[in-house]
Amino acid sequence: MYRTADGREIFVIDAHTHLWDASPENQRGKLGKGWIDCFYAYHKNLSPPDKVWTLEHYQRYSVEDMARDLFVEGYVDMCILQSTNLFDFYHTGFNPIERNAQLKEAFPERVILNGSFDPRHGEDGPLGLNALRRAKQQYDIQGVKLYTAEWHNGSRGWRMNTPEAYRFFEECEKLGIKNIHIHKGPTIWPLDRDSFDVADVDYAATDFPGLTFIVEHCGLPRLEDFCWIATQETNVWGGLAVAMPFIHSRPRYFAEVMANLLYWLGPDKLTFASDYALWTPGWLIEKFMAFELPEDLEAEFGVKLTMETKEKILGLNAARLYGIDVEAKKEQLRNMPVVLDGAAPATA
Amino acid sequence: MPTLAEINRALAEVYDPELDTPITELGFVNEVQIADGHVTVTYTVPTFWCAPNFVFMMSQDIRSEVGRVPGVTQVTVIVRNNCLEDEINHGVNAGRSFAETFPADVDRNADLEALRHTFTVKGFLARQDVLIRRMRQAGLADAAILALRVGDVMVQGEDLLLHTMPPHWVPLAAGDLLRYLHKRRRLQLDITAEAPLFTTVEGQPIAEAELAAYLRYSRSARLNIAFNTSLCEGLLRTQFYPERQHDHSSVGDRLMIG
Repeated sequence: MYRTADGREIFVIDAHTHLWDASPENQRGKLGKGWIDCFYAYHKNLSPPDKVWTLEHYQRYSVEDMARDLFVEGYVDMCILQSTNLFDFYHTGFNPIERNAQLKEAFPERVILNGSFDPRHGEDGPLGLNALRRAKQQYDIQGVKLYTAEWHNGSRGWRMNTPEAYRFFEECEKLGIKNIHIHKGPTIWPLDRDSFDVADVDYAATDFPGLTFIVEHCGLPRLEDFCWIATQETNVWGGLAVAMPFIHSRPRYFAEVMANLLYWLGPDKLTFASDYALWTPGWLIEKFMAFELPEDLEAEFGVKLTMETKEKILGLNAARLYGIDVEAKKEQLRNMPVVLDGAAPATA
Repeated sequence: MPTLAEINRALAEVYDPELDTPITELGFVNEVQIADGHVTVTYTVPTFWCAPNFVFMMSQDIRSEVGRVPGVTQVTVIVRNNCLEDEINHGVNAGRSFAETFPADVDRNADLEALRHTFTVKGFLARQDVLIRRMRQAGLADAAILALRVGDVMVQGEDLLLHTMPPHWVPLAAGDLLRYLHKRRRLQLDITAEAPLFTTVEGQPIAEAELAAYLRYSRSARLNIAFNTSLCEGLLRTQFYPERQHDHSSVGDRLMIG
C-alpha cells in the first residue's frame, strides 16, 4: 500500500516478478552465466547506485528477501509471479513454477502464481499440455507467462501463430486460464527476422478474443509496432516491466513512452511491474507517484497522467484482470502484516 | 601498408543497423591490428543476447568496409560477448553468407537485406522527425516546412538558414540536416536542389493534413532508436567500462527533442 501525503491509499500489484536461482551451481555453462550477467548489467545500469545488489545476492535470493523487498519496503500489496523456465540454461530452471510456488506457499494471500507452456514440449514434456493441466489443478493458475525466446534442444525460439501454439491457447480457454503474459525480448529465432517482432501476438489475439494478451515490456524497443497492435486488438495490454526504471536514468524517455501508451492504449490496459529482481519496486513506485508528464507531451498527445490513472496502472487494472476485489483485499491484508526476522542483505 | 587512421575511417562507415549509429561512436570497437595487409578488428557488443542477425551484419560490414581500404589484403573480424559469437566469427571470416552460416535457423534463401531495409526506414523517419521538430520549434508553420526544397536550406556553422520569406534561422540543426540528407542518399531519394526536402520514404509528398499522424509514428521510431542506443551504451559501460557506469550520456540524445 502506498499512502500519498494527503492520506490516499494506493493499492499496488507488482504484475511481473520472479523468484530465480541463477547461482553458479545451477548454471549450465556459458549460456546460464551469459543470461544472468546480462540481467545484472540491466540491474546495475538502471538502478540508482544505492539500490544495486552484489552479483552473488542477485544470482540467488531467498523467499524472505523477496517478501521484504516487495511487501515490507516496496509498497506492494500483491505480486504476480511469472514463471521463466530456461531448462537449457539452468539445471533446475531459472524460476519455474515449482520455485516460484515457495513464495505463494509463504504468502498465499499476497501472491498470484502463474504457469507457463512451450508448444515444442507437445503432450508430455515438462512444459507440455499435461503439465499445464496439472499446474491448473495444483495451483489453480489464472495466467501463464510465455517466453518465445526460450532455447530448447537446439531450437532457438518459437512463435505464437502456429497450429502447435494454438492447441495450447485452446487448452487455456478450456481450463479458464485467461491471462497470457508474453515476454517480447530478444527472440533470436527466426534469425532472419526482427528479433523483437510482436506481429505473432496480433494473430493469436485476433483468434482468441476470450484471452487477454499482456505484452510485457510493451514491446519495447518496438513501441510503434506494439501500439499499433494494441490499438487494433482490445484484448492486448501492455506491461510496464523494463520501461519503469527509465524513470530514474532517462525521465524524458519514460515520459515519452507513457505519453505514447496513454494515447494509443488509454489508462485501462497498462500494468505496473518492477520485473523483480531485475529491479526492486520501492524506488520505482516512489518515483512514479512523484512523476508528472511534461506539458509539451500533454499538449501534443492530449493525455494526462492523473492520480486516477496512476492508481489504475499501479494496481486496479491488474486487479480487474485477475478478479481481485480490491476493497476486500485491502481489508484482509490490513489484518495480516508481514513480519520478517532476518536483516536485509547489504547492497553492492 | 594501410594506416590506422584509414582503417578507423572505414570503421566509421559501419553502422549498428538498429541504432542507426556508427560502431565507432558507440564504443564497440576494441582493437585494430595491422600486420602488413592483414587487418584484424575486434569489437564487443553490449549484451550476450544482442540479436545475432544484426551482429552478423556488423561483422560482415566491417569486413567489406575495411577490405576496401587500399593495401588491405585480408580482414579478420572478431566479435565478443554474443551467444552465437563462435558461429558468427567463423562464418564471416570464411566469407560465408548468413544463410550458409545458420542453415538450420533460417530459410535457405534468407538474406538480411529486407531486415536491414526495415531499419534503414526507421532511421530515416527518426532523422526526419528531429529535423521537422527543430523547424517547428524555430517558429516555422507546417505548410512552410513541407514546402521547403533541398536547395532552400543552408548550413551556417551549427545552425541552418532557410531561404523562406522571411528567412528563418533554425539553431543547432546543421548536424540533423546532414544526418537526414545522408540517409536520403542511402535510400536513393532525390537530394538535388529542386527536390522537396521532406517526403515519405517512398519519395511521396507529405500532406499538411496528415502531418500530425505521420509525426506520431515517426516520433516513436525516433524514440525507439534513442531508447535502444542509450540502453546499449549503458549496458556496455556497466560491463566493460565500470569507471563510466554512472555516465548516462548517450549519442542517442541527439534524437531527444522537446
